Amino acid sequence: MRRIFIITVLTIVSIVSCEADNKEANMAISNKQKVSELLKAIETGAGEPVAYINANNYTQHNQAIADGLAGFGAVLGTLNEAGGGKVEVQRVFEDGDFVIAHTKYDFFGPKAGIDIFRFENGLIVEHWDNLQEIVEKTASGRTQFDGSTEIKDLDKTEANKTLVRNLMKDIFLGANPDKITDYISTEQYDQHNPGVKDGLGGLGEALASLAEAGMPMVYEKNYIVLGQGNFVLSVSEGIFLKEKVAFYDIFRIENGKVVEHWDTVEKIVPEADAKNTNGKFNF
Amino acid sequence: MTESIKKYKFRDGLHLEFEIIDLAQVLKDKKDLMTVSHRAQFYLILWIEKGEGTHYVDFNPIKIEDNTLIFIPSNSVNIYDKEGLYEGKAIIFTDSFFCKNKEDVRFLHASLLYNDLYHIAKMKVSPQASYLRVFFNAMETEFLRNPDNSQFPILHNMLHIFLLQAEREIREQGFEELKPSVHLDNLMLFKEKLELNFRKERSVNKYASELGMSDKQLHKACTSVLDKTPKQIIDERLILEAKRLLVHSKQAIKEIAYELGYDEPTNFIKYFRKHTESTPLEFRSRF
Repeated sequence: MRRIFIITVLTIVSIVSCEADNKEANMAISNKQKVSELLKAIETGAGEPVAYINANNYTQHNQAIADGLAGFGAVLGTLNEAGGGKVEVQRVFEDGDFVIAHTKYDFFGPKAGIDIFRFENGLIVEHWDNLQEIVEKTASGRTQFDGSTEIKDLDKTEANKTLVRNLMKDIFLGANPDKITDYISTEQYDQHNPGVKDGLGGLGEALASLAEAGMPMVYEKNYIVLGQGNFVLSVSEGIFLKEKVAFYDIFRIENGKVVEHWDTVEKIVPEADAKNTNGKFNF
Repeated sequence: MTESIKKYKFRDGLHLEFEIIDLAQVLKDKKDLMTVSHRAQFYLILWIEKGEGTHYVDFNPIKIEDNTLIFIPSNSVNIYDKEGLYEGKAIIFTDSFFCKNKEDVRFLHASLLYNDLYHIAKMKVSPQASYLRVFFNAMETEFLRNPDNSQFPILHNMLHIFLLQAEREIREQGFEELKPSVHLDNLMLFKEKLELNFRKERSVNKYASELGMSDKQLHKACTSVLDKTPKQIIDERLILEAKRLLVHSKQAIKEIAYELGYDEPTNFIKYFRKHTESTPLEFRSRF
């Protein structure tokens, strides 16, 4: 009797300690790291990182991919048939349950991608992204990826997010266009949008030539602003070159002004042609 | 009204009876639909960037060429060239989109772009940046916006400006326009009345008295502007309708005759033959 008791206790103890180990192991891998591993697995074909996705609950907002883990699996299958892909994550940052990754893909052709993943209990439950073709020769001479990657000023996250929210409202949605120098540095504005030159002047020139052609760049709605320290992502809807698009803009902020910008612009698929019904936005 | 010609109504579910479409895309997706002759219940502006072939509007051939704008009135019968090339955009809109008041009605119906006193309006456009191009781009951009209270008046006004500018440019390209006169005004009134009544009324005298004119006045209006008698104009309208029904409906000759106000099909056949030098059946078999 006594012996049985001891064995039972031991078993319970070992179960408990096992659980603790697992928890520790999970804690050790950050959400950012999980996202990096998962994206890299698209290239390597490694199976383990797929376990970071909640298999029972994964809401897909990429309109070309079917909902759920099955949709993601189907894309990987097609990609393997097409000879595989390449994935180079450039910068990753997080905001609460959200992780944002800026990535150079060769994924059915070379693309710049900004992905957003939402986590619940350590697992990915939702995904949004915005993809754009890579341009070889850019107006600024910068690529769509190079530039700063160091995350700092963690104490300024909220202030920087507020700055970008107001930048969207006042400049891109047009409430106070003359305030542009309150938001964007007049000394340095490193531009990674392939069609626009460096500096505030470059941005002004690009916007003016679009408007003169009768095709002003229109921001209609800002959906979400996410950031960590000096990096802030803004997701918006609008019209660019006579197409309905999603704008994903990443801004780097230094001393309260935007000094660097990367973006991707992707056409929004009409609902009837989308592979899922989750919508491109719906944060 | 006849329902037997295939009539393409405006797509349901659009909040505005205005749309900008990609020609190549629509012709690819709906080739069967588009190359069957049909009667469009909307005004069309075709902006052809690259094009080849022959488009038919009410049996009249129109050559499709690069960098041209073609204005096609509502209710005319279109036959797209099956072998042709149509690359570019089209604006489609209805009377109810454009005509919000009497001035709009007058402008649209009297515009040389859509007036059936003239041949179909076709003009050259510069492939480079131009005023027309800027407005076309601006309409495309505006059309994509999320709907709000400003969208309709903005699109309406931009379309109005686009049509005005096109009128100006087509005049500069040498489009011969009829000079305004009392005769032209009277002719327009007559054509309006005729459009509504030609199926049942073919007496010149009746039209004149309905319009408060003497037979002589009406005769003078028609001959001085178009060099045609009122009777000729009535006949032409009736024959056009007969042709449309023959080619675009499957109705029996007897039914068409009845629809056009003939109790005796043989009289209709004789009438048709006299004006077209072929019988209705022969005409039908050619298309």
